[in-house]
Amino acid sequence: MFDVVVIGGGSTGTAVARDCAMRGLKTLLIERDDIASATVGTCAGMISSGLKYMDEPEIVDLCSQEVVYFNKIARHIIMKNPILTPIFGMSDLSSGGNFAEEYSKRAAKRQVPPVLFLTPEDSLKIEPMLNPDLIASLYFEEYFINPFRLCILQAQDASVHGAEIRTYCEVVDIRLSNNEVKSVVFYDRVSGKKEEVSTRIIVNATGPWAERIAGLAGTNVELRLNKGAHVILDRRVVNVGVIAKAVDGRMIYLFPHESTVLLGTTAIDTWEDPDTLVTSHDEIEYLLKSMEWVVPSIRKARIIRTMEGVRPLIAEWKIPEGEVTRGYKIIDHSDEGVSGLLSFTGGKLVMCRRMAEDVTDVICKKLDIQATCETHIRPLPGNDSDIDVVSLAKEYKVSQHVVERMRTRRGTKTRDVLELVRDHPEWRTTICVCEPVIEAEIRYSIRNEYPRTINDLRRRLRVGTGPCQGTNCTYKIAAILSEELNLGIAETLIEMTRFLSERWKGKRPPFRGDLLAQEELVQAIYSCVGNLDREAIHEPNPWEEGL
Amino acid sequence: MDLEPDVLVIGGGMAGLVAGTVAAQDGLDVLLIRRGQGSTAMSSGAIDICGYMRGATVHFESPIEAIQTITRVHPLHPYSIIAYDEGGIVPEKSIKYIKDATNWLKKQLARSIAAIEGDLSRNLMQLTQIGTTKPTCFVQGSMVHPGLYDNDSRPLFVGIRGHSDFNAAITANTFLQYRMDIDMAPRIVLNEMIDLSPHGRHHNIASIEIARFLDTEEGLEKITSILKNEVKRTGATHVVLPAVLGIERAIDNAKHLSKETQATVFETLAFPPSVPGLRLQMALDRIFQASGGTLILGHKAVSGVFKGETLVEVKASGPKRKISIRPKAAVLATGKFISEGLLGSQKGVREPLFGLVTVTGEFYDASEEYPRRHTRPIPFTNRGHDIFQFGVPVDENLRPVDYNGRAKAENLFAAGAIIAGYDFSSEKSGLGVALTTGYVAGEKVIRNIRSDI
Repeated sequence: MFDVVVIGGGSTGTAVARDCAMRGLKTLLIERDDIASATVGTCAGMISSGLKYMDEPEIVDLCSQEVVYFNKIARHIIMKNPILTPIFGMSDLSSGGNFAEEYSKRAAKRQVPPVLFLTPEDSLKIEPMLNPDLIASLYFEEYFINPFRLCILQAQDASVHGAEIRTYCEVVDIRLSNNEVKSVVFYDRVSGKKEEVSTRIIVNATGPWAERIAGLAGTNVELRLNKGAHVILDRRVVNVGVIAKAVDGRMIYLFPHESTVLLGTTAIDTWEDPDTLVTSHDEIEYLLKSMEWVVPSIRKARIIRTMEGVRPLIAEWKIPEGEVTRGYKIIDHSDEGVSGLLSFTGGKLVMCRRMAEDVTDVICKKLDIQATCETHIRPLPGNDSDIDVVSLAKEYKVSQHVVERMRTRRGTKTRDVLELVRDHPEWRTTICVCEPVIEAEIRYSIRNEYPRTINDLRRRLRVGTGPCQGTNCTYKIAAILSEELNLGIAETLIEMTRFLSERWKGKRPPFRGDLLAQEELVQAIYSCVGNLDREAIHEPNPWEEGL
Repeated sequence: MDLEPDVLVIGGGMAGLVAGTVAAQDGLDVLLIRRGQGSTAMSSGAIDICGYMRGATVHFESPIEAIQTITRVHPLHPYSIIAYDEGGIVPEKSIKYIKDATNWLKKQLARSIAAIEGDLSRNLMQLTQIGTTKPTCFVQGSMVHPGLYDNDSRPLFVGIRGHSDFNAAITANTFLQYRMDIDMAPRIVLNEMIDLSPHGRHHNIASIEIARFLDTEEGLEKITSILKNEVKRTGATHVVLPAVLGIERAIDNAKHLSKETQATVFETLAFPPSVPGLRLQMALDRIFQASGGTLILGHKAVSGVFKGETLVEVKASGPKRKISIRPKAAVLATGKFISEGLLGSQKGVREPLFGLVTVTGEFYDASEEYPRRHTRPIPFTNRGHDIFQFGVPVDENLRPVDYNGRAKAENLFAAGAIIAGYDFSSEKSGLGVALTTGYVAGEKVIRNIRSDI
C-alpha cells in the first residue's frame, strides 16, 4: 500500500516524488517511458525570471524565488546566460523599458545585474552577429538548467529517500472504491506484465496527457494544449542569448544551450496526439525568417535537428497563447466526487519544485501528516559542493574538457565515474566525440541511472546530441549497452536503428544543406556497410506511422 | 595560372580517378583537381557492384544476375544507361563494360596496397565489423576468409583494448546468431580483447593509428606474438580482426600473420571512413599518377564557361591561387552531398558548378523539390531514401543533358555519384557504379578527343 502514486516522470512528477519521499510518504513514481522523455526534454531549460509574464507579478516573484532555490540545490546543472534584446524601433523600446523595471527590481536577489541599456556599438562588440541597424539593446542575464539532469537527479533523490521509481510502465486503469481512489493498474512495457498497486493518493503529473489519465478515474481535466518547436543549431553561433520579435510580433529567442544553440519557439494550439508530433516546415521557416532580421547570417548556420513539445496550459479561451496565465493549478477531483486524485495543469519548468511543494502540502493535510518541505534546502545528489575539475583531470589522466562536461552533469559524483578508470584504463576512451562522453561515464550511467536504451543514455549524458547526431557513436554505445544489460543480438542491432530513428525524427523536418551530407554518411555506415536496412527493421515508432 | 590539358577531371574518388587513369593510359594529358581527400576514402574499401534490388530483402547471387535484372526493371539506372544501343537496352553491353572495368581495375590494383580478390560470378557475403554480413563483390586481399563459413571452423574474434570501433564479444555473438539462424553455425566461436597499446597508447585508439603501428616492424612483431599465443591457446582456425592491418602492408601482414599463427587472419568490413577505404583511395591516386596523370589537391572547381555546345574553360580556386583550365574535354565526378557535387537547400537540389539540370530518382526536375519530401519516415528500409537517387541525368555517352534531353556540352561527361537514378546504400552498388561509369567516361573522353562523339 502506497501513500502516494505519482504518474508522470517529467519535471513536476519527479519533483513531487522527491518531496513526498523526503517527507516520509511511501511513494511510487510511474512513468510510461523514460524519465524526462516528453515535454520537459523539449524545453530550452530556461528557469526564467518570468519576464514574459509581467502582467502577473505574483508569478514573477515566484519564479525569481525559485531561481534562488535552484542555485542552492542544483548548482552544477545550472548555467547563466547573458541575453541581448536588440531594439530596432521605438515600439520595441517602450515595452522594453517596462520590462527593465520589473526585472531590475528582483535582480539583486537572483544575483544578476539590473537591466542595462547598451549602445549599438557596445551591443555589436558583445554580439557581432547582430543586425547593425539596431538602435540600442537591453542586456540582462537568465539562468538555465539541464532539464534532463534535473529530472534524473530529482528521481534519484526520491529513491534515496525511499521512493520507488518505475520507468517504462504505462498506467492503464485507476480503480475506485466508494468514490475514493483505491489502486493503479499499470502495464510494464519491459516485462509485458500488468501490475496493480493500491494507494491512498494519486498525483496526475502527466502534462499534456493529464486529460487521458484523469479520464481513467472518470474525471475531467481541461487543458489548452499548445505546441512549441525548436530548431537546434550545431554550435554556439552567438556568444549570448538573443531575444527578438517574430513575424507575428511574438517574442522568440536564440539561446546558447550546452554545446548548441536553440532557436525557438513556436506556439500553436494543437489537438494532435502529443505522441506523434513533428515540427512542420512552416514552424521552421517562421523561426528562421523571424530571426533573420536580427541575426542576418542565421541561415548559414548548420541545423542539426528540430524538437517539439506541448505546453499543457491552463484552459483559457479567446486569448492568444502568450496571454494565457503561466501559473499552475492543482485540481482536486473530490469536487467531481472522486477523492484522492490530484491533477496538475499549467506551470513552467522553473515552478516544478514549488508545484511539488504545494501538492505535497495538500497530500500531507489529507493524510494528516506533519512534515515540512525541505526540497529547497537540501541539495540534489552531487550538488552539495564544488569540485576541482583541473585536479581531477590530472589525477585520473582524463582531459579537462571531458571532466568539465561531466561536472555539469553530476557535480561531486564525477569522482565516482572517474574511479572506474583505475581498473579499466581503456574506459577513458571517448565514445561520443561531439559532446564528449567517455566509456566510463556510459558504464557508470547504465549501472546507476536505470537507462534501458541508447535514447535513455542520451538524456542522461547527451550522447548522440551533437552535430553528427549519433552517426559515429551509436554502434559503439549499442555494444556497451548490450554488454552491460546482457541484451540479445537482435535487440542490440534493433537498438541501433531505433536510436537512429529517434534522431531521424528531428533531422527529417529541416532536411537541407549539411543534413543531407550527414545522412549520406549515416546511410553509408548503417545501411550500406552494416546492412541494417535489411537486417534490423524495427516496429515503427508513433511518429513513423504512415510509412 | 592557366592550364591546357587534354582532359580535366573534376573530383578524385573512384569515378574520377578511374576515368582519368583510363584516359592517361591512352596517352592523353590528364589533369585531375580535387578539393579534399576523395570520397573513396569514405568507403569500406570493398567494391560492391550490386547486392540488392531496391526494395528486395533477398540479395543477388551475383552481379551478373543483378545487371540482368536492373537493366530490365530500371531503364534509367546508370547500369542501364551504359547499355543503350540503337535506342534499346542490351544487358550484355552493360555486363561487358562491368567485366572490362573490373578486370582492368583488378589488374591495376594487383601488387598495390589495395589488391582485390573476387569475381563477377558471385557476391561475397562479407563479415562486417558489427558481425552482420553484406553482399559485396571484390574485397582487398587482407579481407578474404576462406573456410570461415565451414561448420568445423573455429573463429576467434579479436578486439583491441581502447579501440572502441570493434567490440569482439558483440561481433562474435552477432556472427554466431546469424549462422545459427540459417542452421550453419560453427561449433564454437571465441572472442578476446588484447592489449596492443600502439605507440604506448591505452585508450582513444583510432583504427588508423593501429594501422600505422602495424606498418612498423615493432607493431607487426607485437601483434604476431600476441596472436600466436591466442591461436595456440584456443585452437582457432580463423582470427577475425577489425580493419586495422596496416596502410602500406595490410595484405602482407595478413599473409604473415596467417603463416605464423597457422590460422586465417583477416579484417572485417569497416564503417566509413575506414582504413581499407583509405588504402583503396591511396592506391588509386598512385596508379593515376604512375599513368602520367597530374593531381592537383586542395582546389575546388568554382565555375565553367560554355561556348555554344562546348565547355571551354573551368575556373578553380585553391588556398593561394586561382587557376583557369581550358581542357579539350572534361569529366565531372564531384559526387553527391558529402563532396558537394550536389547541394540541397530546403527548396530543392542543384548542381553548383555548372548549374546542370538535376533530377529526382523518378527523373523529375529536382531544382524545386523539397529534399524532405524525398525521404521516408524510417531511416533504414530496403527501399532507401529517394533523395540519394538525385543527381544529374546523362545520355548514353554519360554526358549530362538539359531539359530537352540533349547534351549540355559535347565534351562534358559525368561519372560516379553525381549521376542520377541509383541508390548506393540500398542497392550496395556505390563503388561499382563509380568504377563502371568512370571507366566508360574515360573511354568516351578518349573517343571524344581522338575522333568525335
